[in-house]
Amino acid sequence: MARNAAAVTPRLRRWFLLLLVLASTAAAVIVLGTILAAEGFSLLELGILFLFSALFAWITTSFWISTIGFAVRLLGLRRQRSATGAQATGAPGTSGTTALVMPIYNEDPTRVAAGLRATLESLLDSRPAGRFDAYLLSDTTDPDIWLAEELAWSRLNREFAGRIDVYYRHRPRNLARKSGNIADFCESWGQRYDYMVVLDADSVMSGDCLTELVARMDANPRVGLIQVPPLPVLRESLFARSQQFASSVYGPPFAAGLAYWLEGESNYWGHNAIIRVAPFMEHCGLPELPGREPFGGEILSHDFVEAALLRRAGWEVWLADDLGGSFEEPPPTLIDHAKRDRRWCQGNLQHLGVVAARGLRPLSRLHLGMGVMSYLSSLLWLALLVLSGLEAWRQSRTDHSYFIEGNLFPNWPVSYAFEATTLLAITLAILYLPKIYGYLILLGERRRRVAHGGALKAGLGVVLESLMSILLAPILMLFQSGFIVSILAGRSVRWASQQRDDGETSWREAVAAHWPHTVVALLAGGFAYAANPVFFWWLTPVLAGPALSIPLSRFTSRADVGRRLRAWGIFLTPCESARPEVLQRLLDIQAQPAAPLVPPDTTSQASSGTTLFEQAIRDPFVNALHRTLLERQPRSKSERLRLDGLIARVQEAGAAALSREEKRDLLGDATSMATLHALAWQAEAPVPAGATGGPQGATG
Amino acid sequence: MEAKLIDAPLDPCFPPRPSSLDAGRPPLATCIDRYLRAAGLTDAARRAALTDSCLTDLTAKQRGGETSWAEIIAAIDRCLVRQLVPEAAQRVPPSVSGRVALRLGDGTAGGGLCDGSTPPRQHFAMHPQDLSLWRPRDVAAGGLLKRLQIGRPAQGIAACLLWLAVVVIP
Repeated sequence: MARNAAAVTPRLRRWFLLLLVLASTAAAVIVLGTILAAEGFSLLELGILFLFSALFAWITTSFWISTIGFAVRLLGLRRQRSATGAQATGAPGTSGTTALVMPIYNEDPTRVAAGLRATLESLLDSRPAGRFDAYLLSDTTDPDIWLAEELAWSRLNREFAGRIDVYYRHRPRNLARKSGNIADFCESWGQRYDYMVVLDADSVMSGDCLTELVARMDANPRVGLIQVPPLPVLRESLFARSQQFASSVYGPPFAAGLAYWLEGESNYWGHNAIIRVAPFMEHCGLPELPGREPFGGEILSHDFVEAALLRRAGWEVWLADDLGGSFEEPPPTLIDHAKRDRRWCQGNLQHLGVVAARGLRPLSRLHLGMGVMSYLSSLLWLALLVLSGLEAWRQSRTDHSYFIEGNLFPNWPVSYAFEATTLLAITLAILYLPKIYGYLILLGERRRRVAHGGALKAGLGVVLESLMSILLAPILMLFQSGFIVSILAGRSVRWASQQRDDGETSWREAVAAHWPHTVVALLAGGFAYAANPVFFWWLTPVLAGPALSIPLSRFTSRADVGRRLRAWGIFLTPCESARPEVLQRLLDIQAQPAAPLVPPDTTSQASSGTTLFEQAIRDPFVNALHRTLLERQPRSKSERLRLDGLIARVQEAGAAALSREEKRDLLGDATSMATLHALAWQAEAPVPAGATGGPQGATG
Repeated sequence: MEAKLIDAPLDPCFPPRPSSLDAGRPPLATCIDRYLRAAGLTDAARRAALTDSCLTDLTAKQRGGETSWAEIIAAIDRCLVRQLVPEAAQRVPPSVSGRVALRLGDGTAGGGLCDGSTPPRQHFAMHPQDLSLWRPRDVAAGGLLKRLQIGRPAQGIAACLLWLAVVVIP
């Protein structure tokens, strides 16, 4: 009975949320319908009403989630919830074996190693009960980055030898991208582990967070996955700092609302989550979708689908909104954010082919649908603006008829200004109240308030962030609308590695990325002003951002501006003012002078200025390390001949004569690397003629 | 005589480059010594001992003829593995982990570097899950839906007509 009650309560909450969304959307649609129906419905007005209802339902859902989360935190319901759900019981049990897996693809090896090292040191400090191993799962295609990864791994391996085993695996072929990388790990070593924690290349997690996750999995055998919301940290550009501030202030009520509403039917965001390996292996193998890219082929955004498959198999998926110690680095600039969005947009739109799959739970379908809507809403918003503009133009061309045939009484125009203003105010409230919730919660928690710079500076930060979002949101809307159109036109995206450092946007990049937005804004503004000046002024908040997108993009990318605001206490977050230990550790590691990956070889005059590929050919250690880490692959005769041809080209023209792909092919073959190594030494110091073995004593 | 490399025979198509330094070319021990220094062995005494060991190994394996760098490196690897990573000494193909252990150390108490870096692979396949779309149970309707396919050009025309309808008709 208690179990039934526990199952009914989340269902009731979801029905309640649905009721709130439907009721508020219906009310808004009725009000707008009343305004538009003043002189009868045109097809254009019907279109506006349809788009408005879809978009209003979308923003209302976020609003009610935040409102519920605000109430949860305010009333302390979080503490009540901590007695149920996916929480550790506190009783020490046998801790499972856990693998920390970090799929990497052409990332900065130094940063990857630093992040993993900080995580592992923090883990050791927390004295975990169970066994942890770490896996660097590389799909890197760049030869020098590949070699640098191996060298960075060798340092990690030596540092943690005897405490945590750190493994490195390089996959010769990047099948199915990140999901394929993780699947390869599961198929090869998954049976050794009870759990795996998936980390991104920029992820950092504290030891306490990791041990708590394992404890919760141990205590809740029906839980298949626990996602910890990652907090964006460590960036310095204005754009990134505003994102970090927003996440830190507005995130808690939203996350609390999500967790309260979803309970064991939450979602997976691809990293900073612990997964029970056995059910994942049994139920989360991803198929290729029928059809061609971008909708068919490999599933790009695998996380939502994997969570849905776990739920289909009856495993619970939880959001641990109460846990800290989970961090990631956001894109530093607006353009990098848009590039990431392009990948995610395609991945989410692809879910249109999955949302109606057999057997999925309704909430899983909702998660997939919301993922689609998070990008489709931009196109709908653009469409709404276009239709609104057309409607405004049409109305400006239409004279009001005071006398209708057959009616003696005049038809006075009715003003719906009050209704329109009310609707606008309600819409703005829905958009901005969640920010106020976050701020109010902050005011009530002294520690967090101080860590955010105090009430006044945090409030100023909220205002500035809101102003920035007013300017940037339309730019992102135009970006995402363009992405959707290009995806629908059949243009797929290559999953390139993300920009991970604070690189500023140059004027050239800004112009190249944003000139269409500027043109669209100027044209739209011109037409709007010519057609209906009143409508133009209503539209200026939406036009301002795109019109100024080029200087905005450049200005917000600047790290010096971000640092100056930080010095003034604006956009301050706890991760800056009261830095968690694991983040401080990461920064300390990064601040250490970088030791050369390969100690200089005093026997050779050619060691300076050589690439890692050339060092892998010549240096005994780099060559041996690389060959040790290579997996043996049989080669066909034709492939062997091709590789021998590449070796000959190296001999004749040097390593620089090879393309990146050719270097990679040679690096992938142990025999070729052995041959090149011997040939390099042969070329440098030919063995004297007639030299034979026998102890002669060392010279030199 | 075809030389035997660590993993495969050295192709005789790649002869050593002719050197103009016939006089003063270093003897074999100097080659070994030079390689060991490049491999990170800075201790002269240890280097000398290893050089002698490698020369003995080369003598034992020598079948006459020129000694190539491939043979020298192979001998060095055998000696290093015997000294530093004995468990890898029996591996086929012979291991280069001695050179790795030389630079990084031969492991700390209770654990250390492993040759090959990852545990042995198991092979458990993750089978692709069925994501076929839900279809109505009614066969007739299901059949109709399956037959109903709109090509991309038709989709584009439909989209244009919709937009025209929205823009023109009002």
